[in-house]
Amino acid sequence: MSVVLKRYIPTIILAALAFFMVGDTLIAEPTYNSLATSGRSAVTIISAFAVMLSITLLTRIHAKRIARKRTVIESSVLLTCMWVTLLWGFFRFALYGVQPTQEAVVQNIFNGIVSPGDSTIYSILAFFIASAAYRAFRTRSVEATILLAAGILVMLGKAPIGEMIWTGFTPISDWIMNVANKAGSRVILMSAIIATIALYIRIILGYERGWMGRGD
Amino acid sequence: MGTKSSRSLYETLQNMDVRYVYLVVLLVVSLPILYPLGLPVGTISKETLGLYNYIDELPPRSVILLIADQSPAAAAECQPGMIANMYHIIAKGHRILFYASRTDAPPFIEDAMKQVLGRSSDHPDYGKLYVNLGFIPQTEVGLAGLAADVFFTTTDAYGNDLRSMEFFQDLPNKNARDWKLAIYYGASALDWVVRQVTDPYGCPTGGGVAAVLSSRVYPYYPHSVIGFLTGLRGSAEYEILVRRPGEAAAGMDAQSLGHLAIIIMIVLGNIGYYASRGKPRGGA
Repeated sequence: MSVVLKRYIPTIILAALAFFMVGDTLIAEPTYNSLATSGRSAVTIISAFAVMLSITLLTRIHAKRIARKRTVIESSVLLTCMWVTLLWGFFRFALYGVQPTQEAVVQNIFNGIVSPGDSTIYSILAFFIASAAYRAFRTRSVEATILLAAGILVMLGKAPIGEMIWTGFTPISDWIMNVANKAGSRVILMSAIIATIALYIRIILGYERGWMGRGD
Repeated sequence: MGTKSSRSLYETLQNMDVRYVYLVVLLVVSLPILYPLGLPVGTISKETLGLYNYIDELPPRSVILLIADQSPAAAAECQPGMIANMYHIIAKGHRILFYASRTDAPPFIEDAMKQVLGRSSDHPDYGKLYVNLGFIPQTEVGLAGLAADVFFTTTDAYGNDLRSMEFFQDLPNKNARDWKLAIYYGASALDWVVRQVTDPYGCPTGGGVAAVLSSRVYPYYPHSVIGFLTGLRGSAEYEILVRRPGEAAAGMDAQSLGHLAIIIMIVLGNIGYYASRGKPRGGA
């Protein structure tokens, strides 16, 4: 019985829902399509609850760390303090109907902390890429030489200065992106799609059971 | 003596302190921003022109979906393009439906609306020509729901009822068949927009993508993706097309010198590599 409950019933529910949602793309029947739309709404609602659950679990983990004082707790304290903004948003929305998108505190935190921080981390990549290109980008083999030449040509073709040096860089760069890159990307893309379909068929048929948790 | 000094130069090139590389990158990127050189943007690419021409030829009051998927990191490349697109779309009298597919994207919609329209939800044409749906969770599932039913979220980002808005009244299907174009701005992928909007409903996709993503867009161009802006260069090209040079056009000098510096460093690194390979071993 436990095997039926733990393995077969979840697989049957999953397969039924999967076929139902696949059918939505093939069958144009208003009631059916409307039910499928409701199914998608349910997914977004469940995901919103999943966010709440993850916030609760994360808070518990960091509250324990702070209580034990065993590790570096500054980041845990900071994270817990940031939840205050969430409570502030709920409070303002519940009492005054202020939407989070128009909440000045949230906007200021985003513009003053989140946005500059994220941009800074991303921009540091430029330094690492330049350093890595200088130290590691070597023409050690034919393949590496082709890659290096293609990279340089695309870089020159995509920057205005390349066109100023020689007008031929732009058409060469366009050819690399439109022909060579497109062919390679399509192969990767189609392989990934076929692999994804195969994976989902395995999940629907019950061969892949990782999504069920540890099971026994 | 000459050979010895040239070999020591090659070795210096090979083992140069990485902090000098960082310093060079810092200078070539920051100086042109502080002191612009005014390099021309150059030839407008076919990808940019594809998006521009498509918007230009749409009949007035066409509905265009703008999908904000830019993180603050990607916004430097994508946001100028979104703003330039908005100037064009508004000038042509089209309608815009905004939607954010990531939690940190809604402020960029607000920012773009305030920059282009002067106001957001309190604009006189809000609800008639512009609607901001805000964040919809579950990227692809969220878009699939919205494409199947425009009232999927029931309210906009400010809590207003969608069904009472003038924007939607004359739309016959109330789904993605009413949209003439969906433009994605971001750095993750736009495959899911093609899958959920272009393939099932026939609404073409456009893009304002980070340069790193452009190689993944080409397989869909020009059939499903009618045109797209590639990174800062694409945004700058669109700014030039709509005659509103802004942040992207200003950043072109820095990008040009940055690319050139990296190429010079790669060449120097390889010269050092080959020269040091020829050095005789042993001796001491």
